[in-house]
Amino acid sequence: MKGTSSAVAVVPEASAPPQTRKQRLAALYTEHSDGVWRLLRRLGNDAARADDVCQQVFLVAMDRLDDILPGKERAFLAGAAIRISRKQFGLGQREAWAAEALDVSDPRLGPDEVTELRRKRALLERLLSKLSEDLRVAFVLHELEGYTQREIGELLQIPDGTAASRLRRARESFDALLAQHLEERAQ
Amino acid sequence: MSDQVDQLRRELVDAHRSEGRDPTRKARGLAELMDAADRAPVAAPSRKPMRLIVGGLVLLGAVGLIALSTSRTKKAPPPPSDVAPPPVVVAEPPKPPTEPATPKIEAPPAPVEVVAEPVKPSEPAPPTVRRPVPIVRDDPDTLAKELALVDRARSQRTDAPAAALQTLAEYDAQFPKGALTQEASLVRIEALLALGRRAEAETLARTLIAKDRGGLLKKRVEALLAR
Repeated sequence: MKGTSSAVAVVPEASAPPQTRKQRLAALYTEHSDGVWRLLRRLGNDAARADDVCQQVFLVAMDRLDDILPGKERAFLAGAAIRISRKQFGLGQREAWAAEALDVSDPRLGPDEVTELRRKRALLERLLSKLSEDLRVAFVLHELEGYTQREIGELLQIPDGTAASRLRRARESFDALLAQHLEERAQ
Repeated sequence: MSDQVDQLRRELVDAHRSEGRDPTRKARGLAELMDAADRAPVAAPSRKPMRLIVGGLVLLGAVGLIALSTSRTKKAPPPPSDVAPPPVVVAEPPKPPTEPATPKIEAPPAPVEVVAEPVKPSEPAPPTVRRPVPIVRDDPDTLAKELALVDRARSQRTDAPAAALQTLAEYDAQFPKGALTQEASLVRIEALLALGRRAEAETLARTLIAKDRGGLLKKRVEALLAR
């Protein structure tokens, strides 16, 4: 009679993979979709386009779920986001950034904080738009999204040394732009 | 000046990281994704399209051959004695070739049967065409609610871990078999750790890892406990 319990245990085994797969996809989405979306925004996509590309990124992830190694999810998604964004729209749609009203929908913030946040994001958009595409991608990944140099090398498929020099130049260029902005503001 | 630059850079980074996606759009995106996952082939997704293409080509080829042979049989019905030998050759497995008389009598249908042989490879095609589609779909509204609760718990887990646990209890009560149960458990582990309830967090972590057949969560859970 006890054998039935083992028999019962076999049944979920057979049907487990699809559910596990779906759960993994859902977990991937809940954990990373905000990051992917933000990355897409900083790569020059307006909010609606970032939504579209973000969805495509996760559809790609769904198709290739078995190829995504544990711990490499974020890098996989970022790589897909950059490729799809670049392929479909290019990364040079810069004028639209600054012109677009930046949504700040956090109900905990007061009007002054919202204004300040909007101002900073607009400034960030403006400064990023002055970087070359390669430097902008490197800067966004490393400085804003916290990717390591190695991760960036892997996902951009460039040698480690190239990633390092690109990050250094990106940081220098951005800081120069920041300094210029501060000088202009002081005058 | 460099201090000011550093300060401003930090502020801009914070401004970037605080930017969030519209929750409604995010929930809708998840619902669409789950819907797509339901409709997608369950196993070996990368090979399925190739199988479909090959199956389709075989089917097309078979149909083409049938069409060709039927047109030929229509054009040349008189010489049944010449047409007869091919069926004899192909009919080797079923019957001995010592009875040419019967195929000669039924000459017109015979060629069709000959062509029907290559159709056999396309027999596996029906399963690919009639792929079983799961009937149960995730309700977008339900997913949106699930996502909202898990997101809320996630935002509370460090600053208000007790509130996060309350939110997760709410999630468990509402969605005992929800699509985001794994994610909810991970957030719960973090909240328990933030409250200093390490033993409970470790117990939950062990349960989670044991349930995770693919072993994909192990790394994340271990990373959480290592903090």
